[in-house]
Amino acid sequence: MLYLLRRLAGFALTLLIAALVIFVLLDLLPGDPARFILGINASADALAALRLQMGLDIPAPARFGNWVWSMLQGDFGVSHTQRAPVAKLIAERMAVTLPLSVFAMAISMAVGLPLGILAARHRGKPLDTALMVMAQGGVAVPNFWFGMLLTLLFAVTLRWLPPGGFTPWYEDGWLALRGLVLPSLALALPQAAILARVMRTALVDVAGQDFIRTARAKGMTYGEAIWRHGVRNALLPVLTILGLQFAYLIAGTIIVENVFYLPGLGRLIFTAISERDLVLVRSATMVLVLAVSATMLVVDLTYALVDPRLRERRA
Amino acid sequence: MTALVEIDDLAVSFGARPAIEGLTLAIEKGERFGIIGESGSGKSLTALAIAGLLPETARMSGRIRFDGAPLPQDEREMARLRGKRIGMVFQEPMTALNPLMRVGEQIEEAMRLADEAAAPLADLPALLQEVGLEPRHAGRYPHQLSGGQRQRVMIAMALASRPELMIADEPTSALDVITQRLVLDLIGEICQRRRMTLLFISHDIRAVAALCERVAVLHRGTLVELGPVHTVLTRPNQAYTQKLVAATQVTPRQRVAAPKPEPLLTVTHLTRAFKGRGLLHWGEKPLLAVNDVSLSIGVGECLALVGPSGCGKTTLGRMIVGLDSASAGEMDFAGTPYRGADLPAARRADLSLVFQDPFGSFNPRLTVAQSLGEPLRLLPRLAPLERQTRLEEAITSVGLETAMLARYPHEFSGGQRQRLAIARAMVTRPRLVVLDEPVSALDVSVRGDVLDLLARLQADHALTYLIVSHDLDMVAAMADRVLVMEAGRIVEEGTPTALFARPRHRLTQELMAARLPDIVG
Repeated sequence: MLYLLRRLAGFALTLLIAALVIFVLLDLLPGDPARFILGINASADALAALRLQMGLDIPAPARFGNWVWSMLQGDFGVSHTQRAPVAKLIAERMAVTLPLSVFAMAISMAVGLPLGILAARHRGKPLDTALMVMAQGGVAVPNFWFGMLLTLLFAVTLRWLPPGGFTPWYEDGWLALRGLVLPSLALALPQAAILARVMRTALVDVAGQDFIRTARAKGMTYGEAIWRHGVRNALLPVLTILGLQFAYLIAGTIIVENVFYLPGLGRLIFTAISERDLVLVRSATMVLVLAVSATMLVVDLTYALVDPRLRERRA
Repeated sequence: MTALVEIDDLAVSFGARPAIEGLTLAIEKGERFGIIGESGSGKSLTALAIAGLLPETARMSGRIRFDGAPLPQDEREMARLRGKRIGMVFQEPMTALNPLMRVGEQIEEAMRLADEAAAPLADLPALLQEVGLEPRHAGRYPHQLSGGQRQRVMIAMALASRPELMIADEPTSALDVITQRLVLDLIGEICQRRRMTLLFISHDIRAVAALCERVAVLHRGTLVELGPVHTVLTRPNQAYTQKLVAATQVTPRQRVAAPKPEPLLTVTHLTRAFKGRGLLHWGEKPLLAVNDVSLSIGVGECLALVGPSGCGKTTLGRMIVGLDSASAGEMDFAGTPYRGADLPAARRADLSLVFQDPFGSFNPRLTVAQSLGEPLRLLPRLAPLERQTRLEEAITSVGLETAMLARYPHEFSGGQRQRLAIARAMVTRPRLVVLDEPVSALDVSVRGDVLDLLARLQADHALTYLIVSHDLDMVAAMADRVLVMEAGRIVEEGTPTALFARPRHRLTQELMAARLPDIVG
């Protein structure tokens, strides 16, 4: 319980500090944000109107407070280039990015973890070597290139799945789902390869521990001992990697989004940066920070759930 | 009587390196059989071979029969045999238990594996009671138990299947004296009550003598001597056994010069409190690892600090050498007052520390010269030539050769590494050396050599020693004065002869009572 409270406090503090850094970097830097957004040819009237709208006439601390307060209420401001509420834009994109990340994660776990366990069980044998060579390949192959191969095979040659684009969920859920299959696979490949390697290493480590010998002494075969006592212990280091991977997926899917022409969060931010949409950049960055921090929070809490030693450790 | 375990011409090897050769012995039903040997003697491998738990890289030949039948070749059958008929207790109870599982669950698992019909053979509370634990301990995780309690859990787990054979491999080596005695007595008692055969493996001759009826002495993988415990240990036939038995008698060191009365180090009202940081722990009572301790060590004196694990003796030693700082109180080393980590570097060079574990205390990626040279950072104005001289002087003073400076730690044996650790402590030419359990990780036969070395160095360099230990025999042989510590406080003080002959404090009496009896002929 104490652990939970402390983690939640840390989570809130992280968000606050991140908000401050983002605000300072984008707002307080020399130069006029309004002019930066509108460009050097903007008329004085337009500039003044924008300044007023962005609240640039009030002092910075109050502006920061207002920004944080309105975000807490779900108001992320209005994008100038898209002429729409930022909250709505991000929500739309999240409807693509979040399922995409979750699918990719699920695939990579479903593939990577069992393969890692399999390799560890056959450590030093041909199967282990073969799996690890494959994993090395999986890490090395760029996911956009793998994505293109998938498109060639499943979309162009076999015509099972759409080659790209995205149908919104509310129009046709089935089509939306189909659109995410290939990008999820492309994203999952390197992740699964990394996961398999980490899982294998962790399990090989655990297999050498004394309590595996104890389990065997109790009457288990080596395989049973690994399965009942090894895997759960080996999952501890794997959890950290899972958290990092999920955070990466949410923030870093832009290349694959481009390959498959998906309207995801990555592309939204990319466009916003190139169009100097400060309000959108600022809020979208904040949303990413939130997502990453929340992932880490979940990882920490899962750790505590799995490992009794962490629950009571005095920090 | 019939044999429960028959080992016939057993050989185990790793690659080209033989670990056990031509071992033949039989363990009778119901007897308590001991195997004595030093590290590398193959004693643990023998136990693992009986249980079918040899490492995958080991090659085995010869025959092992359990209750008249050869060990099954099939992995599953062998596992079931282990689960039902053999119970095992290992050395390190911390790492031998799964850290993520309640100990009760781990014991129940052993019960289920012994009898798949799910009808529990023995109920958990009764089993816990038998090993001296309370029912509430079942809900604990391994890290919430003390070393002795964890070893009791291991024993309960080994008993869960009502085995015919219990194999205990150094079950008490990681425990302090008092706990060691309790656990040994418990094992003996249970074997007697359950008429269980015991295979007890240890490097501690006195533990084997206290517990076993027959003993086998192993040396470098071959059987040296075999027979009734009393005969083998009091009238050993073989030179090796004689040497081993002789080594358990720690002879008092000859003192050349009497210590001078003037103090080198004084410690006044020293306290070290540990408490949880942050607001959440505010108002909590701090844990006083060292509680208002005052002492002084004279120039050239050898002072010993004894006490059970967790009594604060190591924390005190760490503060004295400046690795930790006191929460209250002060120390004075040769006229320099300090509280711990604030000791000036130049003074710090006059203090050294030798750790217990000669394997963990060397960085495996540094050469011996690099490791030994590290304390010389405290003396920045040392010329390179002088540096080299210091290193050579240090390594020859501990009886090793200068050519060894270029080697890496893994090339040395345990005894040699402890010599290197002592050389590292000597390189700054210190005046006070804190020795934290200097020989307890070493084989019996090299302990005497290391203690001789320490005594010689003390005489040659007029050193002052502070020995932190729970080994009363070693302390009696080395120390001029002994302090007994319990729960952060010093509870008794005196010369070893007076203190151990007439212990006054309860703890000192308990420590003395826990000593295993000497082997007398």
